Amino acid sequence: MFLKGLQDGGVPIKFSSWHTFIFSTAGASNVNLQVQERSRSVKALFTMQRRQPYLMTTDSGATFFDTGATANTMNNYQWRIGGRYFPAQPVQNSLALGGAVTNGGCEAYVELQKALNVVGDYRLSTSANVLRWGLGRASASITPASGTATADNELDYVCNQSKYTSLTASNGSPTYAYVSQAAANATGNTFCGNVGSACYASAIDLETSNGVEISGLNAEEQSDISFIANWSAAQTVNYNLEVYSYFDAMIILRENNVLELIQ
Amino acid sequence: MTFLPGQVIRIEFPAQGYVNPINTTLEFDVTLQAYGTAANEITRFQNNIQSIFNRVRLLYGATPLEDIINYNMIVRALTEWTSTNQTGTMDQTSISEGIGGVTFGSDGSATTASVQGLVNVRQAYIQGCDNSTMTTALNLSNGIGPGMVPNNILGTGLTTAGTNRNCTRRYQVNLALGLLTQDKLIPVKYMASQLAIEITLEQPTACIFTQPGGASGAVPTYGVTNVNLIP
Repeated sequence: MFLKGLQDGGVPIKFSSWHTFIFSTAGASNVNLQVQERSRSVKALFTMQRRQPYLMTTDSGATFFDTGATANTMNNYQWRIGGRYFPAQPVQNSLALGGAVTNGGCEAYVELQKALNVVGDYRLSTSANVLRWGLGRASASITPASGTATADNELDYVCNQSKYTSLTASNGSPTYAYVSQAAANATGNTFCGNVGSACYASAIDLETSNGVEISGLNAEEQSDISFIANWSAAQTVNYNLEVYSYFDAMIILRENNVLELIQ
Repeated sequence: MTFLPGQVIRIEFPAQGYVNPINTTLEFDVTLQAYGTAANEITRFQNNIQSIFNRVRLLYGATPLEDIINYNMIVRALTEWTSTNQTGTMDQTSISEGIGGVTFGSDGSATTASVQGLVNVRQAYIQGCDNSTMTTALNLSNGIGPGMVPNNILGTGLTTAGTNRNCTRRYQVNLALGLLTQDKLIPVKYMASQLAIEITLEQPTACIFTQPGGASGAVPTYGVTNVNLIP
């Protein structure tokens, strides 16, 4: 059977893989990123903001909602592909249009669930939660055990979240605290808090099926993919925006040891 | 053979039979090395041991079928979004994949006065170096470190930067390559060119998390040994 398949047009093996595109925020509060993706079936796109350059004293796997000044938020994001907008209306992340108070990012989280094909499926409990998703910078920087001073949520469970500030004081920004308070924070500590590093992403699902078939967006013909995002304050320069494209690919194994890659 | 940060691990599939990709795993030992001079520091890997893989390529001869840059970032994100909850608990993913968040545990004291509180699973139970010291009476503000987790063994071919500054653990992971996560058998016996995986190891700054305390000397790093692809 297998040899017959090789002779009769080849044996296809379908799989999915990833492309990576890295951009600078350039310290802007509005971005319009041109993503040079050319795959024939793009299943989903994800944009994440990360610290760059990396520091050993922070969690480089942390992906941020907003790196602007304290008491600000990401306002919205949207993708424009070949002149069409995805989703049709921007994903709103602020309580008021253009405002500086986060709404918690639930709309963005549902977009992520769509991209992962897990909408409404809560049988699997994950580590993403309200302490890690859709929060801006803390009300004040902290410096753990001679590490890096940071107001971003990037300390890998070192802190707990003690409270939110009032709207009048700091737009409801989170306030982090150490479990350890020893010796002016110069001393390390075994114990930790409940705040894992930030894990936000601006995602979009581009499939017309549940992910089993090749039914993603054809980026080879509908070229121009743009990521458009707005924050209520300028983002910090030392952070990158990274776009990850999840696409379909296929290898076809033919007779005489010929292998063809389609993507 | 020892692989250090920035180096490339190349694994070639045998050109015979079929590969069952779903059951194919990569096994390796990782040695974590802490600061040269200890002083209340903690050092651990970031969530999911695949954080040490910066770039992963699947090659058919010289042709890349897959080339995933920032592979560790993708795996990390999928770990947070789709893996099991790691807040206040730990599960089977801590055994072979180095995934952990926080759970209840001891302050590391060997006495009967040990105090319980939230501890980092990777730091205290999977793989970490913790030399934090208790400076005042036992309470949640002053934990004493559990030391080298899980042991003091130095990986083959690695040299130590100090006394008892290393710990080694074996991991076994499913690579997140597309061709290795689909369920069709791969007929490598019918492939003229050899199928190979090339893994570029990440720099320590992007895969290790540390709170230096007062530690000094050589900065934390790691090494990989005993690499095997297990079908």
